[in-house]
Amino acid sequence: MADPLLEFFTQMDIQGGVVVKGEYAPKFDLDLYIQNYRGRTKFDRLLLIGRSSVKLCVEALKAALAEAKRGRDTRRYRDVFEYLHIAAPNDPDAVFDKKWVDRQDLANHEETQRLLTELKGYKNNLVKESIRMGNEDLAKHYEATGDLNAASEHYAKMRPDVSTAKHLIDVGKHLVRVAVQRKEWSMILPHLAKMTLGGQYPEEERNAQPFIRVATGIACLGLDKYYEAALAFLDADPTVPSKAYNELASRNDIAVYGGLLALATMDRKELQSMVLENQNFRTFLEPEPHIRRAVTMFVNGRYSDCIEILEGYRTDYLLDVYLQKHVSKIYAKIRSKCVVQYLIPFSCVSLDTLEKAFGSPEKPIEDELAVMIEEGVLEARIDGIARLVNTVKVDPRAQMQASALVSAENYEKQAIERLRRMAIAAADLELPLTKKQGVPQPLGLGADLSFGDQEIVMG
Amino acid sequence: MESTLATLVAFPPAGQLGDNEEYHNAAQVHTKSLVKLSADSKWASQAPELVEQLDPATHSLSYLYVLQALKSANGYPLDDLLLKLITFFTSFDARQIRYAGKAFTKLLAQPRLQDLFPASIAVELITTALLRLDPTSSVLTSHHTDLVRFAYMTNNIEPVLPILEKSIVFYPGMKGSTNTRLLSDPDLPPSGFITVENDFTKSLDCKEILEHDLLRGLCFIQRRSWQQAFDALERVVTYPSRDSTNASKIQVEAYSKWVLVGLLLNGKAPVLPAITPHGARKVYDVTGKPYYSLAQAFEKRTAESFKAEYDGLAQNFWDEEKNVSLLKLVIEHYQKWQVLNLRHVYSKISLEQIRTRTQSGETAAPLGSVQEVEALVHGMIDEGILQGEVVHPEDGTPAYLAFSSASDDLSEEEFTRRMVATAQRIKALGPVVKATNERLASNKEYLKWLAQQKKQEQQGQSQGGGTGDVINFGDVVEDEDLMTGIVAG
Repeated sequence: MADPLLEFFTQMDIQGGVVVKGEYAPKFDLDLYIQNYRGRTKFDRLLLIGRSSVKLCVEALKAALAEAKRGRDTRRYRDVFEYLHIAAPNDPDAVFDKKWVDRQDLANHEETQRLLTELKGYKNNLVKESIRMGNEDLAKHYEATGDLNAASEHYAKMRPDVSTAKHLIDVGKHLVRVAVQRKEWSMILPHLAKMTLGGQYPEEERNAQPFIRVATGIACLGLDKYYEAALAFLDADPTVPSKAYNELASRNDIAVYGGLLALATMDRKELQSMVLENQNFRTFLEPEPHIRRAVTMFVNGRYSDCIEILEGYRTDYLLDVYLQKHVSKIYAKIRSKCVVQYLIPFSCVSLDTLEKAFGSPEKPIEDELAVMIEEGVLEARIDGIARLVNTVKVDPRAQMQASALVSAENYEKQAIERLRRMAIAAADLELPLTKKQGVPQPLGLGADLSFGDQEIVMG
Repeated sequence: MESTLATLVAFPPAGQLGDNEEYHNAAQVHTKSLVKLSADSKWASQAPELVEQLDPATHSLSYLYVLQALKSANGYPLDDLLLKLITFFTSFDARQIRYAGKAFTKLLAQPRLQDLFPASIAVELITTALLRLDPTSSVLTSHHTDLVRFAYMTNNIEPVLPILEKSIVFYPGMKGSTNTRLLSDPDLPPSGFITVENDFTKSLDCKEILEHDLLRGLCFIQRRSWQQAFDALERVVTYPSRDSTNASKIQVEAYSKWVLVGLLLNGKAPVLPAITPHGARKVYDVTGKPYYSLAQAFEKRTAESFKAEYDGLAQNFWDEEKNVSLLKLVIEHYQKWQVLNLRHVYSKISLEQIRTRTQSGETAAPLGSVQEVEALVHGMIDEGILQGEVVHPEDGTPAYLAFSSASDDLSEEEFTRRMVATAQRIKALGPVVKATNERLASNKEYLKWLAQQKKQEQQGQSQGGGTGDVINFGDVVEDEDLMTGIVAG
């Protein structure tokens, strides 16, 4: 069994996927984990785990196969079968059910036709509500069969026939859900913006709140706006049942996403007030106590403990459909924040102490510090001889003088440049329009003049 | 002969001339008589004698005309002529010469001084003459362009530096520069008399201006004055344009050098200033790609991609682009900049660590030995690009480089000195600003705009609108007169 698995993951590696090696077992139970979700995200998550985790590969792929068969999307079935066929060719489940696929394809086709005819009929009758429902049914069918493009098109067509606040929210939810599946992060925020009701329907708004916050968070995360994403997750309302948003993420996810992103982007004071003292978010944190512990450690200044806790869960987060791509970036941010915070009270720290606190055998802390200083995250200088890190105190006077000089010199330069440009304009000496004759003809130097640089006199 | 001499020394009269107007009239009369005299058939034969009687510093106008005759006549001893030319160009009275642009230009150009004198002397002499005429050298003339081209071609850059270092802000042919002030006015800005109409310059086109600045850049490159070269090339790169799709070939050439010089100067890829015209930007994006990717690779931590960039292009690419020597310098400086960047991270670092952390731009591999590193670092300290010292501890531990930390902060005196210097340079721009203002003031369109502005301001005040910045809706409608067509129709 080892060989086909190895081959499978070699392929995944070549395709650029993240591979979590065998010895790191995730801390969650696959069955319990996937129960938290509803809808198509279940399959997406199972497939991702199957493609990424060596340990859970076959189990997850089999679950995904079963999940696909429960649905109507035959493409998904084919895809996951391909994977399973490579990863575990001898597994009893790895048999292609051609009969089911053909039957399902045919049924899908018939259903599409039926719904299209129905919709046409509604349109002829000009009853707005029926048209809206016709579009919704058709779009749902498209979504279930995997034609996300058509689904999103028909969901959008529902909008003109909306008559109640709930309808409006539904349209938004549908569109956001499809956009999340298609990973079109930048499309999500405009859809969400159209879901606000302006305080006229408090009940609907309250129920939609966590969905909107979670979707905003996921979109911002996808767009690398970590701080905004953190704020969105931290603001989610815990009193609404998770059914309202578990097509996107579970309650545990909100805690993990919110906690990690807050750790990566907020300072200690903000973490204290917006995470630990945030009553709403505390409720989410209950099932994920390690995140709360990590944040508490950070706030209390026990940075290495914080990092240790997080490192223990790295593999789990690598198996999350939204976090996977960002885990290393978020972790690096948290780590460098820890180092910076650690150094704040000192003017001078020995490299060995830092090594003890943060170092790991494969990555000496000196290199990491060098990168951080170069990137401007840390204001310090390394004394490579005495093995010390000296923090640099910014001298406001010198800074002011330097900036004064720069602005004075810029002023002079700009003044000259402006005078010159006025003169050029007055003398009508701008580069003239060249006549367009197919290929643009640049004004050239005459052949009589060639600027050789061989004349550069060395020394 | 006697009467001729009397005419020649008549200007300027012995007593001080009263005001500018009197001087102006006298000078004009004198110039007319000089033109008349020089048309005389006896003029050329009398010239050798006359020249001895005149003082070039006081009778500059007359001297100029006599010298002109000597120069075009055959038979006058060359050594004497050259001596006279030198005396004249180093001592003439600039105020008088304002009246004789044509003769002055002719004296410089026919036959060219460059042909009469050895190149280095010719360059120095013309530089002196041009600076005497206009000490600010703020107007570009055809003499400037010729001079700089000649100086660059003959590699006599040092004598022309005083002109190269001046900022040119005026160009011949500016509308409104023929002003109402008298040529004799001592406060007359140079743009007021160095004009095409006064024959001090030929009219120039944009190609010549671009070429001039490119040549300035090349001169500075040869002097290894990277900052000045960079600024000069930037003037070419950002030259204003009406064409939103194209750029001049000279600009493209300048861009490539600008990128390379930028690397030498700052160790990172230069960013195009916001004023770069749209069309030029587009052209640089395409034609300057090899340079730009090279510059990007220069900033990377390892030399591999840098080497790959310049190796990836055929050798004849750099030959054809005529940037081989600059490229060589850039390659050489790659490691230097890597060492230099270490000062932001380290206060002290062992030479061995420098060796492993930096790579040579040439081989993309670390240097072979600590000795080579030490030589490199010493070289940089000697060149003055690196502030620090190599320390060999007495206890025999490996040598290390200590960056001097004070170099970043200026001392109070140094700061004051630089601030005052900048302030003075800005103050020196005063006359230029004044001249530009004057020129604009005589511009019809500007006056129209100003009047409109005033009117709006007044209306704003009369309506209690307060500040003049507020443009009321009524004003706009009235000005644009939207209703005319409708009412008439």
